[in-house]
Amino acid sequence: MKGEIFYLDNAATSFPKPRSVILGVSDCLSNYCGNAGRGSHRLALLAAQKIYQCREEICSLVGADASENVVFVPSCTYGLNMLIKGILKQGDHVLISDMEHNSVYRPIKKLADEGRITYDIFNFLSTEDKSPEALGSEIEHRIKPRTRLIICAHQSNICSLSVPVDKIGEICRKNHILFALDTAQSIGHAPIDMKKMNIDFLVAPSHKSLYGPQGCGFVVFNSKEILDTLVEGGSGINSLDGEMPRDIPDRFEAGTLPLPSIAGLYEGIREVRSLGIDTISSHERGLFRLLRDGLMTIRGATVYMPEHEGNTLLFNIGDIPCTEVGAFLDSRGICVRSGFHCAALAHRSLGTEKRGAVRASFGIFNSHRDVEHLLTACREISIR
Amino acid sequence: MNTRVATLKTLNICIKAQRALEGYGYAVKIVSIDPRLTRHGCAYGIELDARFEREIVSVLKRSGIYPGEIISGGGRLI
Repeated sequence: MKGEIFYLDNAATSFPKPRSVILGVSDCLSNYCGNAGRGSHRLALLAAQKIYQCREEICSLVGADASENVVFVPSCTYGLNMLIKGILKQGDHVLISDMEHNSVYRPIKKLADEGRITYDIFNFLSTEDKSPEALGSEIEHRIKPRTRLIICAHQSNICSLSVPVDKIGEICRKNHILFALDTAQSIGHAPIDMKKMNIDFLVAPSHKSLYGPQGCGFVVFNSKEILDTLVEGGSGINSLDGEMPRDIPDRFEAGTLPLPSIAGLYEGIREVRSLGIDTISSHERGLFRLLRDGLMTIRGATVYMPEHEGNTLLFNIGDIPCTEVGAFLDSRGICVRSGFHCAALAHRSLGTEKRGAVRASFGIFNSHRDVEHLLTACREISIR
Repeated sequence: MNTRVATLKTLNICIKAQRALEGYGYAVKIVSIDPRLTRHGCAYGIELDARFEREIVSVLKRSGIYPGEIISGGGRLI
């Protein structure tokens, strides 16, 4: 690759990957890439053991109590679809937030358009009062007798705003409503304890802030609810049965699991746990402040939700189309994401649904130098 | 050594059982069970020393793991 790269698109996928992740994937592909649960030979068992180890790491990360409660899926989007379509039945009502990614909004809207469910959107990103109490009232006001599920993003994918998970968990528990949390943008940045926070289902990708490769995500169950399956196929057990097993994780893991990706995820989680979530989060907030304060000195620059510090910062420069800013930054070796970020609801809530915006997002490998380079390029385009 | 095989629901549970038992000093092997001995086809289990069957089953239950059947032989080592 020619030229230096300043990678600030970690909310889309983290890059580069830690060396331990690269070595973990390589070790798997070189030494034990059998098919877990599909044979009676040693490589099949070694593969299964690595998968088990990764389930255990995930349990430690999110406060889940049993490895069998961790289900591997091809992606976070897949996991969210699996929950939405597995939980909701004809006539059910569901609540989502006003900052959802399309991976929640689209499957919910599709089911509603087909007349199978109804849904409401609770306001958070678009409200002035973002206290847990205000959100609690907003949600309780929208609960209906058939409300079966609240499913929402922990953190927005266009800014660093997070919902107060404890409060939502408390409301769900009180009203006997299932609570599913999309942690695509928060896992690895924010501490999560499923039991303490009353989270019934948690969904996450491997390739963002857990630093694994693309190709896998996971759903963690903290509920005994038996869900319908999204896909069916081989599970490695009960092969003579025409139905999927009832036991998780096998019930939801039809087909061959992406072992190299899981091996990489295992190393990625170990890296995150070893660095410490507080250290990572503090590092990213420091970069956020540097970028935010620098952008504020550029004439015409707008920073959205500047008071919510974290790993993701959204901005525009004057009236310059965000795609033009993105292309200019790319010409300077800077990778950011411009546009609507698959988040129609969130952009509507922020008032950026007409023009979109530029998103810079940080990871453990970013430094002040990356931010200074981005600021220099932003100053340059602002005076062209 | 006289052995028995405790059938378990999934391979994941077999690994969990093996680790739990290791913590108590019991070495067991994960085996693939002869499909002729199962009602539903492919299945896994742990092969254990028959002398410690009762103790091992007790440890498993304390760890929240409930074996299906205890069978004599029929397991293939993996």
